[in-house]
Amino acid sequence: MQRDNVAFSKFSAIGGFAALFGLIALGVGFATNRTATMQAYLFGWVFWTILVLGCLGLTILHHTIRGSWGLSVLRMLEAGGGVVALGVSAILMVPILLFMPDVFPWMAGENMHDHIVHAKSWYLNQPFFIGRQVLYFLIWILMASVLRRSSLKQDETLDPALGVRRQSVGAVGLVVFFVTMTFAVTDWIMSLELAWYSSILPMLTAVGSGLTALSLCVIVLLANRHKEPFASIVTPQLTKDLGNMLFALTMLWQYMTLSQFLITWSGNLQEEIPYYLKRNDAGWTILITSNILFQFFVPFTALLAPRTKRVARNLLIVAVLIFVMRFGDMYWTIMPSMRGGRLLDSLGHWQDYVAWFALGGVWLAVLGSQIAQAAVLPKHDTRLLEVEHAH
Amino acid sequence: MHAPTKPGPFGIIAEYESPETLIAAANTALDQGYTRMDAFTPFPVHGLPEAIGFREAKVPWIIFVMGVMGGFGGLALQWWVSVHAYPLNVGGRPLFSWPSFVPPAFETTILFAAFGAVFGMIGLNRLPQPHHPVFDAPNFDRASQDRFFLLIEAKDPRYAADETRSTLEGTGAVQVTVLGQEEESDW
Repeated sequence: MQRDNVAFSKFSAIGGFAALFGLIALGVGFATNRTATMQAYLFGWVFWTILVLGCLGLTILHHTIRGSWGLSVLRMLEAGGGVVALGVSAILMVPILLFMPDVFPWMAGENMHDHIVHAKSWYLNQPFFIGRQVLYFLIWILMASVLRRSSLKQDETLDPALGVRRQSVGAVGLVVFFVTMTFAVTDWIMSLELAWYSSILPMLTAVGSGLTALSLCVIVLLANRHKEPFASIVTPQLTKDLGNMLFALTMLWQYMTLSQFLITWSGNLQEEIPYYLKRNDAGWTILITSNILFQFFVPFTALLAPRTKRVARNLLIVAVLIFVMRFGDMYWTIMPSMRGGRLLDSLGHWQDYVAWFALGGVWLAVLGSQIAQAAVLPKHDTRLLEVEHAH
Repeated sequence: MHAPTKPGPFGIIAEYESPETLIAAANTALDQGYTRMDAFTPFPVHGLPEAIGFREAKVPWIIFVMGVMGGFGGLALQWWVSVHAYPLNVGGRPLFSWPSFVPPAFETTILFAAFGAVFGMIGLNRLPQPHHPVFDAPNFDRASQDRFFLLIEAKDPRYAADETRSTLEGTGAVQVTVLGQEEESDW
């Protein structure tokens, strides 16, 4: 039977369309309500950059451990967290750097004489902040480029030594990834709060980034499971492996989320608890409750059952749920820092959705164009296809 | 007024030299409609559970139920200790401070689930069992060395002494033995 191929070129068209109209609308929003639009833009940018970094992190993880399940999504991860994706993320950060006082409280004039802001100013100041961003993106782009070039070269030469070398690079890369993530998340998310701090937040966000990236890759993979080349590799064994990986990340995410809350709750300190008080009030309670239910309890229970992981359609539903809840979690984490007040008032800002769709469109366009640069399934490791032929 | 009947045969066991012939034999038996089969091998053989038609999945459910019980049990224990038996005021927090009860409740969940896994497995296998009819099979000690055994139990609705025996003999077995019969009756 002749099956259709996955139309990745459509991704670019749809993404480009969303990006074009979204960015025009954001321009209008910017002219009418600059602060709300910049806040929405920061949220959208952080969401999609975290996704890009999740793709990069899972790429590094795959090359380090070389699990055969990773081969099914490797080219999506390489395209979505590659040099171009990271470069585009870096360029899209420029508007944030130009209007930092609109989003970062330590840049806002009225906080300048706060003693906490003053004490942190050796680290949180504009030139140093911008310098750090340049450094992060250079490191990430370097790692992505080394791994991608080696993986593509091995597709041609089939030289197994390249895979062994990527394994060593990956092991070091994972450490570098988590260290850079720690600093980046501190800059992008934690510094939105003047006094609050949490040393587990960057790890929590890194795990969340893997969850965002993997759930989206699983969605693309399984939504196209009747099309080539995915039709030849989607087996109950593969969906079981992907389901188990989602399960592990879900548990890790919940473990860290609870740890952060528990430590803050037990400490009961004046600088720390306002973070949760703000987020457990005025409607935000609904968001975190639905997050605990639908990003933890429901996927956790569903992924416990073998039949969820064996049946592609069931796993697809769980992956969609996780991805949607990632939006809720990021919104709950980021937005209350910038906007006080009620959840419904915050959700009333149309810019939030437009910025999310526009920047998501940019990412989708990058994914579509980058995935066309190489074989959708790596040629250097054909373990997935061998499994298929054996049955 | 029947005379007490001797226990019938336990089943028929066949011995093979390789996992491939074992799997092929199991598939043949499965195709012929046998359902009560068991296999004994020196190492886990990929695809064997499917080949002998193994579908039972009771242990996961035991683990799940025990885990849930452990979780709520752990929570209940902490509630009883902190609210009733020995109430303490810790920095003005409520007596039932559930956030701090989560980690111990998590631990009891794991503990009880692990008990469920180990004792559920042992119980469903009816262990410990000092004797089992398969021990009478000649060469059976080699099931933990280099031989592969397929057993068809007499409980199988499809079981018919002669037919089952000839089926197994036709699958490349090194030898086929009827278990649980007195020696003089069969040999």
